[in-house]
Amino acid sequence: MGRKPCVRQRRGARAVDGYPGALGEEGPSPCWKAGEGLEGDRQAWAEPEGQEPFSGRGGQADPRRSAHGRVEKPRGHWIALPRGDPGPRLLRLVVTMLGNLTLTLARGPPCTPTQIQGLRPMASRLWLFESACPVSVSWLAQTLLPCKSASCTDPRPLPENKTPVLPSHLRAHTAGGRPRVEELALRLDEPRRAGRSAWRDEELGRPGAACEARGAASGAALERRGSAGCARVKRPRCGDWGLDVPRAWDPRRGRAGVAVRGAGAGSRRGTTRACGEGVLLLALALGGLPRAGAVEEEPGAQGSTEGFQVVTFEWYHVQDPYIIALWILVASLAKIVFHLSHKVTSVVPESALLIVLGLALGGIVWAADHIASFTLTPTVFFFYLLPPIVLDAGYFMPNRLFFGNLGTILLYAVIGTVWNAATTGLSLYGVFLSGLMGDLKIGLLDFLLFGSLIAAVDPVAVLAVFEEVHVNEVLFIIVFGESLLNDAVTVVLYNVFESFVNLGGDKVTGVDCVKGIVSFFVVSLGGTLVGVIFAFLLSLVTRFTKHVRIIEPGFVFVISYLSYLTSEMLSLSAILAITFCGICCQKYVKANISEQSATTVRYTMKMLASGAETIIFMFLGISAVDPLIWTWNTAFVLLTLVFISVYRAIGVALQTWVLNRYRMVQLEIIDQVVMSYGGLRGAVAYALVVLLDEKKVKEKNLFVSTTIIVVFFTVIFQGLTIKPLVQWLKVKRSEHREPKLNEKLHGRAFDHILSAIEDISGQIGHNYLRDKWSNFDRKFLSKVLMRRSAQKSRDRILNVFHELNLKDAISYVAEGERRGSLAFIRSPSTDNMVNVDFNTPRPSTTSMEASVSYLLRENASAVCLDMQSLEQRRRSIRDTEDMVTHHTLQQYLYKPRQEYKHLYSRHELTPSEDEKQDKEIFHRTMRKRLESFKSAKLGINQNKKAAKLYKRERAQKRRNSSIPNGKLPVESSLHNFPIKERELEFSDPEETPGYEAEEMSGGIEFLANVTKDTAADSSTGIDNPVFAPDEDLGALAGVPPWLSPEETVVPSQRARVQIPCSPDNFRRLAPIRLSTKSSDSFLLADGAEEASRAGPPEATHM
Amino acid sequence: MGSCSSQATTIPDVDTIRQEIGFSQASLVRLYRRFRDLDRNKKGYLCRRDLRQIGALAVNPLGDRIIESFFADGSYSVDFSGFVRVLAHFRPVDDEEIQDPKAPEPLNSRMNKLPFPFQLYDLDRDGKISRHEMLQVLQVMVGVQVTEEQLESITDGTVQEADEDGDGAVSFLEFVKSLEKMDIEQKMSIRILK
Repeated sequence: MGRKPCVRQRRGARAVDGYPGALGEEGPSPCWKAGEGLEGDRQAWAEPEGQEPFSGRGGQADPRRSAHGRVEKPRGHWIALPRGDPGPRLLRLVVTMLGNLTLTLARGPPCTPTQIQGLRPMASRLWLFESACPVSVSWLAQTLLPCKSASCTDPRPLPENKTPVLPSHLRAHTAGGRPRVEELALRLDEPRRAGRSAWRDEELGRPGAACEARGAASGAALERRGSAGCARVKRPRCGDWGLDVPRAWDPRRGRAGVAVRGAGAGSRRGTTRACGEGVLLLALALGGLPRAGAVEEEPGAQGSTEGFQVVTFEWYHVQDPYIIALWILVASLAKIVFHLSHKVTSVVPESALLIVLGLALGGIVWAADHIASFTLTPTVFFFYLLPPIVLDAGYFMPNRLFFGNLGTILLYAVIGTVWNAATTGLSLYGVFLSGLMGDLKIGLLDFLLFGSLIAAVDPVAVLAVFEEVHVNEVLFIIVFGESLLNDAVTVVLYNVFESFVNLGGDKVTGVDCVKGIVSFFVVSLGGTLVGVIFAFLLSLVTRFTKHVRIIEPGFVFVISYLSYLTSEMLSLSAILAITFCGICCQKYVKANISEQSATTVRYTMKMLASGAETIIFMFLGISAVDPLIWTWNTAFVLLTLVFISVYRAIGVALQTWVLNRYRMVQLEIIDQVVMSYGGLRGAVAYALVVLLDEKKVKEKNLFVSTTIIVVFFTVIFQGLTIKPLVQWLKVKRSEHREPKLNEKLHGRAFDHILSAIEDISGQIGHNYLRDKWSNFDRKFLSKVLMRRSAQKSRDRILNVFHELNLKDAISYVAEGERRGSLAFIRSPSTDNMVNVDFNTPRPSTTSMEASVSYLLRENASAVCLDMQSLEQRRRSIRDTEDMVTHHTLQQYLYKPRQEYKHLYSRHELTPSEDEKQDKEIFHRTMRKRLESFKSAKLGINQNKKAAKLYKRERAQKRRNSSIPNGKLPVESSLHNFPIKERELEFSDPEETPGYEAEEMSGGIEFLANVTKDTAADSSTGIDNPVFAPDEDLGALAGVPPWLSPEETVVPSQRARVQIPCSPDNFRRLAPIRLSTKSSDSFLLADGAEEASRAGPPEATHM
Repeated sequence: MGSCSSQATTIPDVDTIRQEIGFSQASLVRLYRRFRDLDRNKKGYLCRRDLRQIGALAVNPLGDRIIESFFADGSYSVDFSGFVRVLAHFRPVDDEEIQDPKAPEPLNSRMNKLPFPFQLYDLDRDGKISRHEMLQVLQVMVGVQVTEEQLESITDGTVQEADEDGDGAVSFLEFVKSLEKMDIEQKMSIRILK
């Protein structure tokens, strides 16, 4: 606050001369308008942050609250609601500067105003300086610019009618330095002003003027301007610098001017007294905020310049999105950087790193700007950042685990949260009464309000930390479920206490308390209901998206988001709504949408969620860098920390004691420790505290600072230490294991057994309910919500079988490769056995990466990505014949390698590729000779084979028709292509061994990649042309004629033995027509994909 | 509590059952009530027909086999202690019980829980789950949407996975081994049967 005095002085001086005029100063100049409009806007939303005294609090931003009368809705706030100063000034400066420099250079030195819109050489030069040392130069700039206004201390730069209008951005910058000072003065003083409320009233009156203005002007742009005017009106009051701009100026500006003038006309004082400088400064400082600025400025600018501009530099035009994008970029880059060092990320949770980064960035912004330009605002948080995270949580919720522990979760979420809120609030109040905290203007209700917002465990923080600490799933689901479900409690408690606080302590009646309790049930059940309804809707919609595959994933997001908004609208618990929407729809959606869409949904969701999380933590850090919000009270802060930890621990212990009497799986002491310690607070608490009304909650700043401290402490300190703690306590970790077929099968049997035993013993337990539900689901829900094909083909046992098979096959192939040949796989005796469908993209259950790589492979190899056309293709017998023919052809026709390049990769060609190709051609030729030789000698009849294949197809078909599986045919046709294309390739590695080792080594290396690939998505694995074909082992319908017992490459006996699954005992995968499911990271998530996806081409088994 | 204990006394052999099987008094009372409900004719034992009356069991794919498992060795009736003995397999494991190494292994231990499902598979009681037996189980559990051929291949896969000695069938030890990673104590327990 060191800088405050001088600033204030300055301000004081201004006030003296400016104040009287301030009221009348309404006739703002256009230039004001520009900047100010923005500012007005900004301010409107910045307000919840509590800085601006006149800000209309909460009304707009607060999703959590129901309507709050005042203040227009913000028109769009983005990531940061700069308080006071809109722009990322630094950024703006740099960008604008660069732009202008470029332009200037491009056009040569003498840059006339008309050349570049409004750019004057002087100004652009000044900019350079200014960016270097903003304040002094801008001041200089101001003095340099001629000012017309009589009363102005500085010469006014723009003669009214003659000079082209300075574009807003330019203006903003020239004046940039000063406004900062003033504004700072404003900000510093405002909040604490005693007379504030008086102002406020006046301000309230003001909007009338603005309205007038608005009335005069028309159009949306105008409206904004109107509000700008309004904001402006407020300004003088606090700042007291009356600004005036000659009226004459207005006309130029076009409508904006008019609008403002309209407001001005209503003002008391006609004189335009202002210091233009002030105006300029303000406009600029304020950031020339973006949208409004851009809109407003343009007309004026255009009017003033003649001719067509080849290039214009329109920063304002893009400012907001640009800044948002930049922030996101920064956050993402930061993530990359964090993960450069595995050591760091394995110790420090990412969320903590992000917060620290945020602090650093905030520091930089502050240093450059002296204003906290960016903060995490409740609106942005609740409307844009939170939903993706919660949706992600719901959509990937391991349902069985979740519902199995629902009772426990609910107890912790409801009772635990209430307990935390009450004890924390009351204890703080008790300490306060003892006088330890000094003199604070807080009542009991304020403490309870604070307790309620600080009580809730935060889903974002918990997820961020627990995902890195792999505790066992029961523990995870309990803590995480609690953090999700406690939202309803938090909302209700918060709303109740807030309204109590607003009401005033003495007016709270018992009826209100009862209402509060009732509202809890309404809010929570209502939210859940909304979620379920939307889930139903969503499932239903995805059932019919067969022909619009491309937009399929969109439905998932849009409808879920609507559930969030709807329940917000009804003032129900939005988090519950979107969570349950995700939970309920997952099964049906995953069954309905196509494999590609499922992957898209999965990745988009993960991307959004993790992006949002990144931004949240970073902005939490940034938001903390603002001296204005910091109010320190050691006792309060420390005690809060102590109380929330202690009471959480006590609460957990008490509840667990009760629960353990009913739980089958007991929660041990160490589990309880982790649960207490894992009670992280996060952005939800912060957003809620920022929403508080400073008028009502006098010590809001103290609350804000404390919340920030608590959040930082829990996320950074506890997040940092929880991992060692978990290790030290030897908490049972979660193990990621592929389910074995036996386990799956017997697991299923156990379910049946348990429910039967429950039936027999006449008890209604989990198993009974689950059984009932799954019957109901199978009989009714699935029928309605799933497409027919999906209903048929969902069986998890098969999935597991499928997956295991795939895995075996891959390792088998890899093994074969290692031994130098794949030949053994297809030795004639076994070729019929090996029909594992490698084609289908089957993500391994646990690793996401695997599924990506599969997807990529799939896409890379499938020539056509047009899902619709794929869908619509129908296989016919003719196709089969075609295939046979094609197949035959393919073996004998040489196909230039070139084609595969396009198929597989455009960017992964290594220099040695050409060499390899040459070799391949050679080999291929040799092979063909060998083949013809062999077939002649051995009498292998290709045609016979083909006939056999054909026959099989027919038989298969018949079988299929008995089981109507509409999807299958589609699928196989889908695969025909790639298979054919790939097959040739496929044979490459294996035929080579006889010829030379280099080729082989390539293959081996490559296969090594493949195996690695299931875990990590390595680009070589994906793109390597050799790989994809290997997946198609089974796809080779015909016996490659070149393989024969005589083949030199038949593996040794030993090799056969050691290979994980030699062809003989390779599981015979009957033509599986089932869907392959994309399984999610949660094992239990029932990822049912489209049947069609899964089905390997019919051709493949044989 | 009075009614509970008074009823408990009517249960035949209540003390031996409790000692041997470990159900709590309350559970026993509850189960006894259930037993009597199932016993339509008040004959003091249950026969297969009594159990088949339970509606939910009819739709349970393993229902018949489970009912069968209550009647050891083809007997026609099961009395209360037999009834409870079967159910005792599903009693959750208590921590205290584990501490006593000398006591005979309780019915709800891992090694005692597993035979129950095993004998559901092992229809011919030869101590091995043959491929055919496995296939039958799969057939009832998986449902119609899977083709026979797929079922067979799954069966093969399952048997191969568990089969270690290569005899083409799964012995009990192999069965146990294939499930060693599974938390049987938890999976095969029902909370309310304390």
